Amino acid sequence: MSLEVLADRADGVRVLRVDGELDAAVAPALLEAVPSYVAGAGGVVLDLSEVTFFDSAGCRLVDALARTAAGAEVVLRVVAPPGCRARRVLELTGLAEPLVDDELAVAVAAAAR
Amino acid sequence: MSSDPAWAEAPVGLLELGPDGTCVAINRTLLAWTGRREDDVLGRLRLSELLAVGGRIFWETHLAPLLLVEGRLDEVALELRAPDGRLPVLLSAISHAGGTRVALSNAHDRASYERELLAARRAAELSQRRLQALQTTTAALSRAVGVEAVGEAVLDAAVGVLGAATATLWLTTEGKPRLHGVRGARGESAGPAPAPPEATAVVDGQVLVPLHGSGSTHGALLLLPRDDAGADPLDLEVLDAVGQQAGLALDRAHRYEQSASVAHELQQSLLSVPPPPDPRYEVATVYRPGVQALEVGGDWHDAFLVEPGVLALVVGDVVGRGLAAASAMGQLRSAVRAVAGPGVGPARLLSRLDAFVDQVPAAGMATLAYAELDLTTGLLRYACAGHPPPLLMRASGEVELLWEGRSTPLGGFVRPLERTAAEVRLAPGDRVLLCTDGLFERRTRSLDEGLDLLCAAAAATVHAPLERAVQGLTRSLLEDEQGRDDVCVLLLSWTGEVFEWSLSADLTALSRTRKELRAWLVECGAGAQDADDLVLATSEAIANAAEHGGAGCPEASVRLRARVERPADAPQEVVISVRDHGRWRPPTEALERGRGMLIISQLVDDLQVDTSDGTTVVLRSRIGRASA
Repeated sequence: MSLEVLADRADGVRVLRVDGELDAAVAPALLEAVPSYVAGAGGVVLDLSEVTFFDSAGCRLVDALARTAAGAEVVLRVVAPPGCRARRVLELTGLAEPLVDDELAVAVAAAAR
Repeated sequence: MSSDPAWAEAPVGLLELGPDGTCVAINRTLLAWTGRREDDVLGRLRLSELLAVGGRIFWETHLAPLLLVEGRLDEVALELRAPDGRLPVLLSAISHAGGTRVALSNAHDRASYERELLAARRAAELSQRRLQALQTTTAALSRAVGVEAVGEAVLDAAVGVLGAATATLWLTTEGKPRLHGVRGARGESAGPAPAPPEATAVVDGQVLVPLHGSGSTHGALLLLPRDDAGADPLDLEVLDAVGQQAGLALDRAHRYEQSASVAHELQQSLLSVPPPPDPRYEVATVYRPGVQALEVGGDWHDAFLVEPGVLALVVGDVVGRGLAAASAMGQLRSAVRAVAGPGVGPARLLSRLDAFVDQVPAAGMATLAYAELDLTTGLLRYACAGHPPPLLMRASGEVELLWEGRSTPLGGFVRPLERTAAEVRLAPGDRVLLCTDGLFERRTRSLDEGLDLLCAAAAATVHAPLERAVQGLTRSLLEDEQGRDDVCVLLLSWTGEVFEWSLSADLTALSRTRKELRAWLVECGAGAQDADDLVLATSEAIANAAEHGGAGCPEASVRLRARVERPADAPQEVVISVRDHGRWRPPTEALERGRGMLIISQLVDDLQVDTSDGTTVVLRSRIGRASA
């Protein structure tokens, strides 16, 4: 698993790209870093397209990012295309409807507002 | 009359009494007995005056009136006053019109004869009692098996037929006296062990009996006589004989125990080899030696791998008891292991054992149930050589005797040209029971009745954990039996393909566990979507378990176990259990935990949480379709 923080875009949106398995074994370290992921960004997009495993620990990460972003008054969007592992879990837990977009471009546009 | 020799010299005393009771005639014999002269007697003395004091009173008060009424007396024992004391006589008398005729016969000889007779009878009775005591004791000693039992028999006899008030027995173990026990009314604590004397001796009012064996002295018996009135004194001769018998019985007991313990050890060493552990099956066994005789028999059970993935199950019964049967059993058991192998199969195995048994006469007519289970497919191939049929216990609760694949006992003169075998397919969760006939066969009922009881008892245990099932089954069937026969029971449970994994609570192996589980699920026939969902649900359960079970204890482990069940006429189902040793808080307490449980509950068909021992989460999901 890795979480890559891409360079902030011109419109201030910061993309976090995760690949590999996001589970309870790795989530705690990411949760600790959540404030740094959000600090200074004009909007945040979490791209889960390449995630091969996603469970409630991932939901915790999403939840923590959403909370921190709201505190910083920026928008968080999550990219999880239909059929990918993260999408199924986000749908099961009810997080998909308010947060998830099918494509990165849509998410970035939404986060830039 | 007095001159007639037949009167005067008659071998009996004769007397004629007048109407007033005085003597009117007396013969010489009677005069000689009484030491009187005729003149002193005739017309002067009455009969009573010739009698000793006791007789005189008896005559006056009892005999004379009786004579008056009855007219006669017959053989009344009386005593005459004689010059040198008293003379026992028997008196007979007849009244007639003119008086009474009396005859007295000398009873001196008869009295002494009677005394002798009485003495002889007493002696005979005493001798009879002694003989009886000795016989009773010897019989009890010969019935006793083992040193402890002989000791008990000696104590029982001592305060029983041998008539002691208290008996204390010391038995020699490894050259040192050991108090075996104290028996009797007084229940005093035993003193120091006395040195066994050469022969039975009286020491301080007690009788000390040595128990000499043929080669060594086995101990000493100290007896306190009874002091109540009428108690017979202790009979030293009988006690000495009992001591000798006890010594010989202890010789036998020591020899026997040596042989029995060798046989027991032999048998135990053969029975204690456990089958190799494998998650796909479980085996539980009971071996109950016939306790009554303390002798081992020739029953055995065995479970071993014929080849990787094929488990052999054996229960056999060699005819006879004791060391010979146990060692024949050992040889036959080794032969089964040696002969069994890839491609042999149950039928050919029995044929080859026939050839082996021909060389080992003690194993002749042994019976055997042999089965081979393919641990992957559940196919059970079995054959019985004169042995009770295996019992198939379906996970669904049905019970069925496997009556096929039968042939004659091993090494018999009459044997089939080819041994036969049969096969049956087990479903996961099915059990198979092999046992020896001691479990259900009784003299008091038919074989079919016994087998019916076996089936009923087995059906009652189908859902019990394996070890408890085999114990409960055996106990319920042996309730009516006093341990006459050996009993061997082997119960197998086939769980089918199983996935087992243990991981530490730090979850470093979580990713790998998911990969292995997914591969196993696909192998079991799960589709990609089903496999992914089950892996996700399991991973959630593991993460939860690690969090509470391993809280503050990263080295705590979480155990994962998965198996496939194939209920009849239903799609196969995967059952996954995740177990930790902690206690869960209610899922609503933490949002994330609630989310985890929410995910699980939406991914699987059934979710159960058992917190009776640690926490176990059991997930069930159908995979694939019904095998129509």
